[in-house]
Amino acid sequence: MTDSAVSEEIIYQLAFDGSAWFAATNLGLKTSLDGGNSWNSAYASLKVSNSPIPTMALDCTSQAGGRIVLAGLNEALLRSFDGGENWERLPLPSPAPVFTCLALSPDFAQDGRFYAGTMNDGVILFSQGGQKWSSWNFGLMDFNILCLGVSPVVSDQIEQILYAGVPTGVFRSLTGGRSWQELTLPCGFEPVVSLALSPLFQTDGTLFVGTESQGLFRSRDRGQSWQKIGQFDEPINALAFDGDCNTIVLHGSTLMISNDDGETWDDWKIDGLLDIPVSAFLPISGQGKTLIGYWGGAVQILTT
Amino acid sequence: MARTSKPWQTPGVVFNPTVSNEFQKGIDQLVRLVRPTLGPLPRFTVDGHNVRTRRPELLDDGAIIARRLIQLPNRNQDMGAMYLRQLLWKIHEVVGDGTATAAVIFDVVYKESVRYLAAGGSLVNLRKYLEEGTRFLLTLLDPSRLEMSGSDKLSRLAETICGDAELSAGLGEIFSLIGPDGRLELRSGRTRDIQTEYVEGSYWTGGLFSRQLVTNPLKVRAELENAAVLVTDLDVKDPSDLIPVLDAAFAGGFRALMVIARSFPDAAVPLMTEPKNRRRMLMAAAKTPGVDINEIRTSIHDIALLTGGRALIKDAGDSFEKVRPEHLGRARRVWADMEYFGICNGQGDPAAVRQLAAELRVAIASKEDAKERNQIKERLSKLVGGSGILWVGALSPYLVDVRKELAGQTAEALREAVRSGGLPGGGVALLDCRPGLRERMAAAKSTEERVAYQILLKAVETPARVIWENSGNKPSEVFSQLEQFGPGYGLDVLRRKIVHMEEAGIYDSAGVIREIVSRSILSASLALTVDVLIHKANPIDSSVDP
Repeated sequence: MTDSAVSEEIIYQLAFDGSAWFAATNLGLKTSLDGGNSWNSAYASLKVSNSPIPTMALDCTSQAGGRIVLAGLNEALLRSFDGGENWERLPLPSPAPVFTCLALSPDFAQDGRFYAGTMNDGVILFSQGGQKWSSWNFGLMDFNILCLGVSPVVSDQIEQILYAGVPTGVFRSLTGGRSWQELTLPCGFEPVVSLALSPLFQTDGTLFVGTESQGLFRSRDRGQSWQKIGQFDEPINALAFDGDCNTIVLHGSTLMISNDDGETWDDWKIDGLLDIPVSAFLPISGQGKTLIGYWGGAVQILTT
Repeated sequence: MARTSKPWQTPGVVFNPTVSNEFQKGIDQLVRLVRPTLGPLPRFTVDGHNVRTRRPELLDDGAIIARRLIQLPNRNQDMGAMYLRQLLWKIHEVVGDGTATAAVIFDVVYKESVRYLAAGGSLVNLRKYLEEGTRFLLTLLDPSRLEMSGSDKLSRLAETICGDAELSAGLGEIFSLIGPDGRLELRSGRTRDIQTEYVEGSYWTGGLFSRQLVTNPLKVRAELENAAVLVTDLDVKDPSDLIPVLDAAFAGGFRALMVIARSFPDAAVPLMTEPKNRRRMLMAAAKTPGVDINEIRTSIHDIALLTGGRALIKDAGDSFEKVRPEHLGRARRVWADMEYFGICNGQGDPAAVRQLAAELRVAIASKEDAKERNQIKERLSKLVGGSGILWVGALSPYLVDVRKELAGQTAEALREAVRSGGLPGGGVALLDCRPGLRERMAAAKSTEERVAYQILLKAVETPARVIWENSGNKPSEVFSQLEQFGPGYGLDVLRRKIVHMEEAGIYDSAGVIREIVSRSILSASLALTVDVLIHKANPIDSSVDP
């Protein structure tokens, strides 16, 4: 898995904790400790052949010398305290769900909570770093979770706000994932494949959702009302904010950026960007850098 | 011997001005009964003879007081009182709260309008401007609307409605989770306390046909995973009826099967519980929910929709021989005990479920009949999924019933608040509409328009005024204190100080306030058109509850 690698590998998701890079691909979970020059399977200790890994989450805030990595597989959820050297299997409800996305509580280091989106089983809430799970899903009328977003700031008085993208739209939870409310998008029941909450969400209430065929929508009131923005004719496969509050989308396999809250969009021109379709990206906040994953398995870190 | 008829049996026709005078007296009597109950420090109305306890009863709920008022001795006055009574009961049925507020608003609008009309004003124009002003008033309420979510906020709202802190905490917690469409079941508790319980997914009445079908002996219930679900209004008459169903389940690759049918023969139980069969296909059978044909139809339709199957319907000529794998629904988990069965994470088409839920919400809003509305609400709650059970305890069975009734009324108001949001409480939301109404009044182009806005100004002041009076405060003094504060401020009558209502956690349901404002003003405006009363020889027995 190098810049020049040409393979069938598809990168789903990227993560970075300051020293190690992680890439969740269709061939498994890979890690690099030398800035992407060499990659190793993070599943080596499991002694299994390459397993598909649909999703992962990485706790970058973890102290005490450990890097917690969570990896969702078909009907299993793994946790590693040492950046993927060793893994343990977390307890799950029965029947075991298939995980599609993971989202850590912004205060994961303190509260040990994270949320797992599943195929057919809604959202499962984990606490104590994954040792305990609970499944509520009150009001969630679509149990196939495609993406999850968690409000970035935690307050003692307010329960965490969650958003879940599903094949029929988007749901919101004001109760830390226990109960959900339907939010109505102007385009009707359309798959929401990506979503991102503004870093200033607590004050500006802004979030974006990307759909499969109806483009991008923005809400400035926590999801009560939506406006369609931009002209996008391909799926919005990924959405993120960088450290300067610019909004970046992966439109099909092209990166686009907006620096005016989504009003206007341009192709994101970064020096060194390869002429290969992009499959994933990860802005590294505070460093002015972005990890880019390509179809075929290449990964780059570029200064933006 | 000459036959003498009693005054109530004398037919007759009554014209104005008697109608207005008498109608108003009747309204006035009911308003005076209800008015003392407005606010968190209510005074009581005493009903001298409760049918159940045979003791005097202290009443502080406007709707109950109105319901207990059966008849006034004067027939003309009785018509006025019954007109208002019907309005109050309707508001109680629709939103569960706010009847005393509606009564005082109705009273002001009616009285002030009659006074103007007696001086020679135009009824047609006055009504036109009152109706126009009401629509404007509703738009003035919108900007103050607050999102009502979270256990604390909802508990505080519940407490302003029912005054029972423990009950309010339980209801607030439940509604913060089940939302406006979720299912709440009130059950009599076995302790003195209020307790809450939650059930994931949806459940229906209709338990297992046999205790032998239990798979989890500790919980005394059958639990199936990744199960096929067959739902029908057919009767399983013979064990052989199940063979095509089993074939379809095997063909669909299932290892668990739940059959929901009208009846089930004992002879079929061994087929399902035989260990060898259970290893191949874990089976359970529960009764199809519903009593009447409509309830059965909607239940099986909804279960099929939630699980993505197709119901077998007797009237459509379906039979068990026709079962194919595509008739079977799917669910991640199914359970059934001896009373209920439930489905978690049905694998039906979510878009179809959401579409039906949206249609049911529209139907609820358009139905006037409380029973029909409640049936649709219950159906919607099962589609939405997730249920809260409130176990209501108290010192005696009678008090449990009283507390459950209180919980039911409060729950309706809370549901409305979660759906439509909240407004600053204590009458402040209406008081804050005064600047907007004054502007309209200043811009009025006719006398009737000015008078209509004058009446509305008085109407929006009245609820707060009555709350203050009931709590022993002088309205004139409170008004002068409030002049130093901005919008959103009002008198916290419990702490006897001016506070920002939202910050102090004093809310009213926005839906309730809107319903009260529109129904009471428009109803009073309609009452102005009553010119003639007709008395029949045998009046309808008004002691029958509305």
